[in-house]
Order: sequence, then C-alpha cells, then structure tokens
Amino acid sequence: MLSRRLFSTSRQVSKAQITKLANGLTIASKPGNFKTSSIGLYSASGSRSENSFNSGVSTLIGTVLSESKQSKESYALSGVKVTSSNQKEITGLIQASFASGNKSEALSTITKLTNELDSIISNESLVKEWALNSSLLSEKFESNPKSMSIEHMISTAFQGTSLALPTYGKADTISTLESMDLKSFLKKQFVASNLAIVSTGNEISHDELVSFASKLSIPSGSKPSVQPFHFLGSEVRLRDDTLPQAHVAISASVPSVTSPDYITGLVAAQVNGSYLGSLSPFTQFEGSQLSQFLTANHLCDEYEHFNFGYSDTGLWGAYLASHNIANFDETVHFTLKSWNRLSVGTVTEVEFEKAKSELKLKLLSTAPTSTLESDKLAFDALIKGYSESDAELISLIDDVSIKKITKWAQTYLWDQDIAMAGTGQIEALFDYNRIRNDMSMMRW
Amino acid sequence: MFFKRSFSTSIPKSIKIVSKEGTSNEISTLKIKVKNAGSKTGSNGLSHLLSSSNFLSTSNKSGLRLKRESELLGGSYNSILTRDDIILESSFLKENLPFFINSLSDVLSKPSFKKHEFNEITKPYVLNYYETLKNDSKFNALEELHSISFRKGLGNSLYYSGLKSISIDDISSFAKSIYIQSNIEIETTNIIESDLNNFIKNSSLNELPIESSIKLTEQKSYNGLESRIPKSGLTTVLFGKPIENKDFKTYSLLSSFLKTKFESEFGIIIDTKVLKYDSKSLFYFSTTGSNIEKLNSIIKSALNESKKVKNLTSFDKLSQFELSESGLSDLISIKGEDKVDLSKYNFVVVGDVDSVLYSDEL
Repeated sequence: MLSRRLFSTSRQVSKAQITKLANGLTIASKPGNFKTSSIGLYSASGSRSENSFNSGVSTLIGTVLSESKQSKESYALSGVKVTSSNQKEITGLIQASFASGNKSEALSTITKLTNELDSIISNESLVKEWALNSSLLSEKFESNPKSMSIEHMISTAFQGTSLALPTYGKADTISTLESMDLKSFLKKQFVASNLAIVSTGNEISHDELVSFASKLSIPSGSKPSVQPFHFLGSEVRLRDDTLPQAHVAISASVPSVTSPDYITGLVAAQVNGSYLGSLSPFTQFEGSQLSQFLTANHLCDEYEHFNFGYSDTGLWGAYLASHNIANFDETVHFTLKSWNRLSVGTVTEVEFEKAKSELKLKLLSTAPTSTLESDKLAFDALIKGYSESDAELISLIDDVSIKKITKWAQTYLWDQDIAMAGTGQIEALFDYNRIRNDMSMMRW
Repeated sequence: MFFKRSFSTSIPKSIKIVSKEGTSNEISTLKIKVKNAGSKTGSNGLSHLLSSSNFLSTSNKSGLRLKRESELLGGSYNSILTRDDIILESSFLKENLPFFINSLSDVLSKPSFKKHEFNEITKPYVLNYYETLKNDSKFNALEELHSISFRKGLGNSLYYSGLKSISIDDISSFAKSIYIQSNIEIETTNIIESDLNNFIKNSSLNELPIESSIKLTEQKSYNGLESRIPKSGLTTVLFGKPIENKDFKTYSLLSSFLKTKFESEFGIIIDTKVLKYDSKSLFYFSTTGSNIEKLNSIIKSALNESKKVKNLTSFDKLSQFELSESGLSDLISIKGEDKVDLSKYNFVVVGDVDSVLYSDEL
C-alpha cells in the first residue's frame, strides 16, 4: 500500500534535458528547487585544450569576463552574480546565478557578455591586472597539499600531453598572457559546436532556454580536437619538512567516463570511500576495513578514493595524508593491499552493498548550489553527450556485481603501473618500485 | 509494522513540520531542528558538547550499529550547532524515510550518554574541532564581536574551548531540559507529507516532554564598545552593530552596498553580513589580511561610506540574491529602509593591535 502511494504521488522533479541546435550549440537544463538558479555558457575546452605556452588561458578568459565592468554592474544593480569555473575538459566561461523572479536580468547579462566578449577581452589593462592576480592564485594552489599532490599526480601520469597541464594554469605562463592570446584561443574554441548553454533551477524552462540560445550570436565552426592522452607510470616528489604531515596521491589508469566500466570503478572507489579521521566523531564506527585498520593503528589523518573520468581515459586511486610520518610506508602499503582485495575477490558482499548504497546517495544527490550542479550537467552534455536519469543510474549501480568488480580490478589495478605524487615529510614514502610491487602480491 | 499504533494517534501539536520540494528525485532530506538548544542556552560550550554527542549510543542502538546500518541503506547524518539551535541533519535514499525518522527521534528521546563515549569520542572530537579554529583571526574576531555585543546568551562562545570542566551528567541534564516537543521543528525535502505524518505519529518524538523548565531570559545588546586582542598570524579588523530583527533588511541592504564597494583581493579578505538570530541580529563588516596599512584604509573608508550612504533601497535586488543564497528567502519580501545609524558601533581587532587604528581615530 505504501509503495503504491509513493509511486502515484512522486513526480520527476529533476530530469535533465539536452538538445542540440542546428548550428551545433548544445542546450542542457535541469529543474530543481535550488536556493538560487543559474544559467551559464560553457565551452568544451579546459586546460587540456591549452599548451605549455598559454597554460591558464581558459581560466583567464572566464576570470576577465566575471571581473568585467558589465558583470559588476549586473551584480550591483540587478543581483545577478557572474562567476566562472574551470576543469580539465570544460570551462564555465560565464555563469550567472540569480534569485527567483530575476530571470530576465540573468538572460540579458548572458546576452550582453556574449555580444561584448570581444571588447571585454580586448581591454589590455583588465587582462593584465587579472593575469597577475590569477598567477598569484595559481601559486597559492600549490600551498594546499591535497590539491597539489592530486594535480601533480595527474601531471606525471599524462606527462608530455596537454592533459598534464594544471587545471587552473601555470603561474609563470598566466602572468605573461595578453589580450592577443585570449583572442587567438577563443577564435579556435568559441564556436557553436564546442559550446553549451546550461541552466539549473526552476526559473527557466527548457523550451525557453532553447529559444534564448538560438538568438545568441555565436559563430559556427567545427569542433576543435584535443591531443590524445598517454599514461606513463611515474612519480614526482616534493619533500617539504616544514609541513606537518606526509601527503601522497597514487593512481592507476582506468577507462573513460563513457565506458561501461566507469560505474564499476566508482563502486570500487566507494568500497573504502573517504576517511576524515579526527574531523568526524563517527570515524571509528565506519565499516570500511581499511579505515578500521588505519584508525586502530594511527596510520592516517585523511584519505579519499577517487575515480577521475575524462573523455577518453581516467585515473583510479587515492589521496592519503598522515602525521605519522615514520610509518607512512605502512599507510601506503596497507592501502594498496586493500586494493589487491578487489582483484582476489576477498571483499565481502556487505562491503559491496555498502559501497553501492553510498554511491547511489553520492550520485543521486545534487550539488549544494545550482552553479555546481550546472558544472556537472555541462560536463555530461559536452563530454559525454548524455546525462543519465536517476533510474538509469540506479540500475547501472545495481548491475555491478562482485564478479564485475573482480574482473575490473584484475584488468586495471592488478600489477599495473601507477602514477604517484608526494609532498610534505615523505622520508618514509618508499621508492617507486617498492610501491609498484604492492599492486600485486605473491600469494593469491 | 510502521503502521502499528504503539503510543499516540496524532502528531504532537507543538511540533512544526515544513515540507519542501527537493532538488533530487531519489534523495530525501530530513532535518530536525531543536530550537533554543544552541550555544546561547546553557553555559559556554555545553551545547557544543551535547551536539557532538548526538548520533552516539541510544538505549535502542549503539552508535556503531547506527553508522553501519546507515552505510548499508545509503544515508548520512550530522549534528550541526548554531547559536540558536542544534540541528540533526540527514539525507538518504527516499525509501528509507522511516529508518531515519526513527533514528533521529531516538537521538533526541533516548540518548544514553555513556561515559566512555564522552571521554573517548565526544571530548577529543570537540577539542580538536576548536583547535582547528582557534588560530583563525576572523573566527576569533566574530566571537569577540558577539561577546561584546550580547554578553550572555548570543554572546556565549559558539564552541567548547576546554577551559571549563563539563561532566557527562551536566550534558545529560541539559539534554533533558531542551530536547522537548515545543522546541522541535521538522524540515524535509522530497517527502510525501502523509507518509511523514504517519511515521512521526509512531516515532519516539511523542515520548519527549512537552514543555521545558528552562525560561529564556530576554536578550540584551550593547553598542559603542571596542575590543582588541593581540594574536600572531593574520589580522582581522571589523566593525559591527547588534540590531533588532525589524531592522534586518535595512542592514542587509547596507551589507549589499558594501559588497559592491569593497571586494576581496589577493591577500585581503572582505566579508560583510547580517547574522540573523531568533531574538536579535548582528551586522558586521570585516577585513582580514597582513597588510595593516591597507586594512586601516579599508575599514576607515567602509565606515565613512556606510555613514553617508544614500539610496540603499537601490540595492534591493542584490540583497534579495544574497538572502536567497544564504537560504533566507522567506525574508525577501520584508521592506528595508534607506537610513542606517552607525553613529555608534562595536569595533574589534584581532592580530596586530599595535598598528591598527582605534575606533575614535577612524
């Protein structure tokens, strides 16, 4: 009786819709009762579309647009906040978030910024000011050991390809960028087939968004290609004894977001999930075997397992941090031993069920703000070309069996090369070969 | 089984329930807010210790079992402390609503407060939490602003600092006095109301006492004070003013105006807000950094701009946006006025107190 009522009265509040216009422009929208709504112009060109001489150019374009006079006016007078975001493969060039009832101002802000794009990035002094600020910020990223180790792990994994370039850009190149660089980058990337208009929230309907987008003046052209990736097992270390902890990020090469194995990797990452140590009162109750072991032996302050997905490849692994620097070798060793369990099939059914339920909660929850939700939707629309419905996601996760995970782990983890980056007091972080040997074991 | 009427046939009248549309189809959220249980009530730090003891063992279930069961069901929970309230938050796959209603209800109605959990989990967690904040100059400046603006009540320190000795018995009797039906507000998203009502009827929330013996005293406020605390690291300078809730919108407009005039830049963090509490509100403008000369000039011009500003209502749209973003959209329709009065204000410096100007030099 209960289930019948649940069925009849529940309705789809947040189904994503994706449309492609004749000129190649992608339109994506997702309703939802967010605190503020957002509409954004995204391009399928992040740091991966850059090269070592213009690294940071996509970040800088977004920053210059959101710091322009036009954006500030929208903020002060109409309450439309313009921001930008950057990832490896997409950039949120213009993201406008607005309160309920303020739709027309948000739309006109997007139109205005798109129309005046050329004149804004031609403003030499504005570009110069933000080139310097962005370069200072990009240096500051290096002082956060977590994001720093992960970023360098990606860099060493894909060294020699543009996927290795830092997401935010390199400090020494951003500071040298000028209007000319921004223009020549946009000339190639700012074409309808490489762009998407994305909206989240209940304010703009999909049809409205389509008719708005078709009126925007965006040049058409062919979608620019990106350099292919190349994974190389390797490591990079920056020993820094002034930091209180040891930090390392380790990963192996796995399939892309479009592969059917992607969800399997996500479930595998959730088996041990993430660990907050003394930042959560519930740490010692957690069910993951690895977290119990590390807690009992004081071997870890924080860890996070991830499965980063890109259009053609991915990285699966973990970030680990510990103040127990003398035993950091054990932290790493036992983490990798727990990865071995995925291959030899000793992970229990309960651990899998926990991982699957937690992954459902993670994937089906929406981001805390509409802008972040737009980022997710833009990635789906531009990189994958589709966005799974909730029901699809649930059935995909339900389909992952122990057998599937074991096969996945035997293919991508067991005795595979790793990419590794460490910083802090890493005197006890073993050399590459010792850690690489932990990717398999002598007994089965 | 969930439909078996075990003790009561109706939802307690004093419990307020608000259901909203969610952002996700499959995930529901359930919040139980215990009003007047925040750090304004009780002695300094007591609420923080109580809030951090939530979701440990109850007489029905151990903390371990609750965690393991929630993991398997795909749910997460947390206890959040504000100056006004303690909020039990949970989000979960929507079919697990009964489990989380019962679990959250039990946290309030059947806590066990075990001594070993207090010593081994709650206390170390709480002290570590404070440790991560105690060197933050902005956090300290805001604490001090509350302290001089309100003294008692809202002026209590938000978190437990370890200075006072508080026993498990203190916490237990505090919980008994504030975990009461008339303090409870339930907020949900993506939940069918009739189901929710059914489950609440049968939950242990019915076993909570209806009225409290604690009487809240009227919140007083104080203005025109200055406090300077020397500390190493970054320096925070702020001015602020305790206001009545009816002036909330007016000062929100001022804060929006200041946001358009002063922006954070590399090395300087600017923040301005009106903190809304049940009984009073608190406006502040703060700037944090290491370049003292710059901090001095920012705080000086921010104060001058605030004193002479006209046409505040032209920032109404921006203020609406800011309020929506911080989840205060219910307050959008309130009208603000053009006039603010900053002839008297509270002034706090944390950091390099030697070089920052005094309030009468601004």
